[in-house]
Amino acid sequence: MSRSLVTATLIKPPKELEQFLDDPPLVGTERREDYETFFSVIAVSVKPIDAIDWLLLIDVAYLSWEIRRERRIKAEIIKLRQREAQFPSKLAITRADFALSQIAAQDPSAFKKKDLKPEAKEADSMLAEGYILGDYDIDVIDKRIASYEYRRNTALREMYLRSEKMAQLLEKASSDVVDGEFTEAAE
Amino acid sequence: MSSDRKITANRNNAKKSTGPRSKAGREASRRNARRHGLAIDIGADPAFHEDIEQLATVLSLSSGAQKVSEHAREAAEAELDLTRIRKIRAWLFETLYFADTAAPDGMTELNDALAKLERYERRAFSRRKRALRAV
Repeated sequence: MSRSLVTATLIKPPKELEQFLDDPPLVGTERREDYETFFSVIAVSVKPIDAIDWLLLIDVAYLSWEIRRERRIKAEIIKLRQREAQFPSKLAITRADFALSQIAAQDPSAFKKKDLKPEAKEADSMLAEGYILGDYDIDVIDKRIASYEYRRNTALREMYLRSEKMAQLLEKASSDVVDGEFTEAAE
Repeated sequence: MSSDRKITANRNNAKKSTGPRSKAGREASRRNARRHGLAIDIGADPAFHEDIEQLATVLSLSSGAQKVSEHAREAAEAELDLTRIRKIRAWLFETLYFADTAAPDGMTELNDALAKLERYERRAFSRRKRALRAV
């Protein structure tokens, strides 16, 4: 959580609306105070007027939180698959490896020792392998993120129909919070 | 945009529906309700009547209307549906991915379950959007 978020004043939806909303949908190690701060930062910059404004703001905050979570999971999957690429299973053998071992068994002098050593992999190559190994999960997560972004944009458009200024503030506040935080986490 | 008259006509027509007719269809429909209850119209569930009316009143007042319209009720129903869906999504993440007891192939199961949930959320979201515009 960035320092600017921690210092924000906590803001909650009005009581007449709050009774219909459940607790923040948190999972894993997500903390309630982080969600409330995240929500407050967005709410304080928009200053919703009525219940419909609040519903749209809640949508944008919720969807931004989901996008942030999915991005985090995606990053974890890539890291995990990169580790798999770095330490492949000893049982995994390709057709080319098998052919090479057959030749080496018949004529060991045909290969210098250094040719048979595993090559040190470059960071980019490891990242690429990580992507390839986790391609299915990454693809599914990307689709989910796209779908949340679509709904987030729809909510922003609905807000725009009610108040252009409020929609702009909402878009900026939610993007700043999600992108800012994610960049910070990546660093 | 659907008019009040059209919405009422659609609801009346829906009431005439016999639902699934074949034995397999009825069984599948029964299982839908048992899975997470999202296939059931929230408006038809007496447990939600009070919440729907109260939320519809809040939405109507917020748009300056003097009385609660069908659109406000529809928006309230869809909003409560969205709340249920979001709660189920968090539960799925928690049990299939984050929990210590999550299976090694939990990600695949999670992806399948979330894809099914997505359908309901998309529907509830656009239903609420239409209704809120008309409130």
